[in-house]
Amino acid sequence: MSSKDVMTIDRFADILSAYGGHTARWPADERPAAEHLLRRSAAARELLAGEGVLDQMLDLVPRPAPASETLHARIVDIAMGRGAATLARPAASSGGTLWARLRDMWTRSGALRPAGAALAASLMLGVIFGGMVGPASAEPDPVDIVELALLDLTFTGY
Amino acid sequence: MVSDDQNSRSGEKSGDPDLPLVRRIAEGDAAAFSMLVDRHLDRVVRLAERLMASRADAEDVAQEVFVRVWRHAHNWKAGHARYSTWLHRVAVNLCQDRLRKRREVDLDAVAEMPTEEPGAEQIMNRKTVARRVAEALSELPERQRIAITLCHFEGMGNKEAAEVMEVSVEALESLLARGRRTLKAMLADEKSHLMGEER
Repeated sequence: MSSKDVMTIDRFADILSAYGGHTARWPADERPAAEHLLRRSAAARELLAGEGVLDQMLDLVPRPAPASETLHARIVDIAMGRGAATLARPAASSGGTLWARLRDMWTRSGALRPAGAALAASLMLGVIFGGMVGPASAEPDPVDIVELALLDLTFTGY
Repeated sequence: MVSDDQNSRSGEKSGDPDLPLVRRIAEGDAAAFSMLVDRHLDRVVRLAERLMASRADAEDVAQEVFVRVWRHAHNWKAGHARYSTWLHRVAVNLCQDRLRKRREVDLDAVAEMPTEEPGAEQIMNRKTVARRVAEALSELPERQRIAITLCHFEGMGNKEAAEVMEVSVEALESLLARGRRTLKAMLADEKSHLMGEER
């Protein structure tokens, strides 16, 4: 028999002082023992009666109104990027290339399209120049230098 | 399209009825997101309104909670807490942040629950007792008020409420007991009125 199966009057008083007199709010694992004590102990019943008044007063506080359909719609709109404030959800870390992320941003919000176009153009230029110049610390390949020079007639480095 | 019911059934196997929806949201499924909002919005708004005594603030908090759901669903690791527990934890934390800011703005401001008839006569009836109880709740230390809101008003079990508050069950019980003890002292007059009315 575990300690949860037997309830002392002290523990019963602790439960009441924390959770009140509604048995449904008592800890699930101690409820059967507490209810058993309640059935056989006048002292337990007296404690319960004393605690019930506060529960009764708390139950008088009006329940807030349910959420409106408008709020539901606003939340979904904002999350989907359809509202005044737009929000793009970051792509899952497990998947999604840079291109997929850009495409995701593009399709989620029309408002992002001009910015997306500018970003895409910047990226393209970055890729082209990044590819042409290469890492700063890399040793220049003579063939690359010739090819680069052919693109720029003012180059005099060879 | 997977129905909400099917989601609930398959989720029950994993112990968390929200998990199938969360997985779909992580893949960008807008319908799943709408279903999850539908499932939890009322409760989140109600909890936030009870903690902050402001409908407008409660709706702002709910909006922020669900935007976080959309943004972070792919980071959710199943197996620790239930998803709804995490939702409530986020809501409680956001409420606490707002209450902290509110205190910084006006240290003297005391939050009041909305009342249907402000300035009603001094007749002590159920409505005025209810208003006094709401005021007493708003005057409780914040963590005691959160504990009572979760357990009494939201009907959460002690383990889930303790998880939402990130405390042990023993600490939760202590917060509840202290909160109820303070309320009893604050509401001693109302108790006699209420008892008189009952007789």
